[in-house]
Amino acid sequence: MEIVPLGDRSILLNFRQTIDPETHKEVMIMCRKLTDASIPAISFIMPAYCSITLGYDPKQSPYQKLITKIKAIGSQKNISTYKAHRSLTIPVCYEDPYALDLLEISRQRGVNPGDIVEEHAGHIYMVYMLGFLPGFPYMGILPEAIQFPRRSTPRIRVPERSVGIAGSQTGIYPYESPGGWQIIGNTPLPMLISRQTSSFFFKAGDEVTFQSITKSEYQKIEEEIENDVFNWDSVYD
Amino acid sequence: MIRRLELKFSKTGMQTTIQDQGRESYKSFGVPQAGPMDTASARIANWLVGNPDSSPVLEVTLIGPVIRLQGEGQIALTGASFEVFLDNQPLPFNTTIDIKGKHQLNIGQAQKGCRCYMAIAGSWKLKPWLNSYSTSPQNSRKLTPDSLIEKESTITVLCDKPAASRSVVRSGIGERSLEQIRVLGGPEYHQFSTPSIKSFLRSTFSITTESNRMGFRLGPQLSGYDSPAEVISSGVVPGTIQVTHSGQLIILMADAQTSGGYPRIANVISADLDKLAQLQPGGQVRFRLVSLADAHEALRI
Repeated sequence: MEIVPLGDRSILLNFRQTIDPETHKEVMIMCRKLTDASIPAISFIMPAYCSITLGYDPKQSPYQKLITKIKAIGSQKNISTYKAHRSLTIPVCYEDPYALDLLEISRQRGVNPGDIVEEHAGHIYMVYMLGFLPGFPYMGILPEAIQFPRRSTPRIRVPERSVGIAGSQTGIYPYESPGGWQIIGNTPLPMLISRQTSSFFFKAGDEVTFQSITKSEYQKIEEEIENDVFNWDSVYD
Repeated sequence: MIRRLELKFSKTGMQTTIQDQGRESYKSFGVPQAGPMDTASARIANWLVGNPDSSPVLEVTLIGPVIRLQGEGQIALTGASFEVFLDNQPLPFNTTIDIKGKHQLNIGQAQKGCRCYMAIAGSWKLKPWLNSYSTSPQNSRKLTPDSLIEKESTITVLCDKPAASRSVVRSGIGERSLEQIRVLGGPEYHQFSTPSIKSFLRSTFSITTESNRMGFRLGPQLSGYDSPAEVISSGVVPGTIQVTHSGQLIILMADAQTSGGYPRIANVISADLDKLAQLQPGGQVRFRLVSLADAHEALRI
């Protein structure tokens, strides 16, 4: 683990610079240890693919002292059983009008849209980090068969809850936003669960599976959520 | 007795937002930090009306709003100098102003500097999002509807007793059109070629019109820039200077995304962010490399 300053109020912890589940597991373990240590000078802990950014108040703790502490925390024995926060099953409708780019990319590759859907919904992904938009999960790693470059012209408006793919990553737009990912479906689940708790749907470290649903199932879930009768146990394992 | 001041916007101005201490602790959810671009001015504005530092303020950029005021309360303006009129009477900056009855507040154009701040005494009746009243840079209509300032938006502020009038003397904001900005080397600093580092530290850069609360895009591009290998998406903070593939510098500001994949050549030290925030498009900067100890020392002054 390499420790470098990122400006005068944050610190970057760099791990092996690669995108893989093992490295990310190390990132999440270190995040857990830092959270548990609850150092008062630390103002935020932000995991990414293979790094952690920490905010700190230099008036509360000098840099060198903080580094010594972080190193000591890093060399502590690992928590014996690290488990992803949660395993989530996300219903996704891969049909029109939601699958904006599915037909085009399957044509490009000379496969059936159904093959892409089967691949996308047939693997377990991990949430590596949240970013780009509040609550936007960067998930991966997609099988090579469904890795596509971003759209050459980004959309000005990607509809909210759109499921997109780009390179080895897949993600969900929590809100309508400009964006360049290839859109292959849409989830009926709200990505900001309630304004009261303000909790976001995903956390870094979550394990995610997509479940293909029909348009009528999509509408049913949407209604159930609207009427507060949706069975959330079907999402949280 | 509770007094109440109501603000109704007849014109929004160029970019008028509500800002408080922001949402730093939610960065791990991809939420931009937010908060005032010029933090010292926001703090002083609140002090002038007897509010705590954590109170929200209005941040006004380049062209100000027209606001109908009604009720009773206190306001104060500070930061960049703007032409401001209360019912056609020029209104002074840097002092507490008592308001009673119906008035029209007209904040004109920035004369010097880029952003001014208006504090209103008391507690603002707004619904916060993630413990902050700051206007969300994304999808504000959904996330922070109360803090979105549009034509006919209304803000109500309640206050129990008037604070003693206060004044402050400030000078120098927006006086210079060329600022020396101190920076620390960024995480990828050593991956840049010698010619591009020379270009970074010896050139004068201008703030382009494509600059806002998310980031300042500078021109010209770095010379001798040979795009290093892409960085795997990693954390950025306000003050981080990214270099795009074409060699353009982007200084990330208060509303920046939380992560990015461009190499980070440097970070502006915290003590210099306020004066950077007061440069108008067209304003110029030169960068000077300092040590982390220098940066922390500058924060104490």
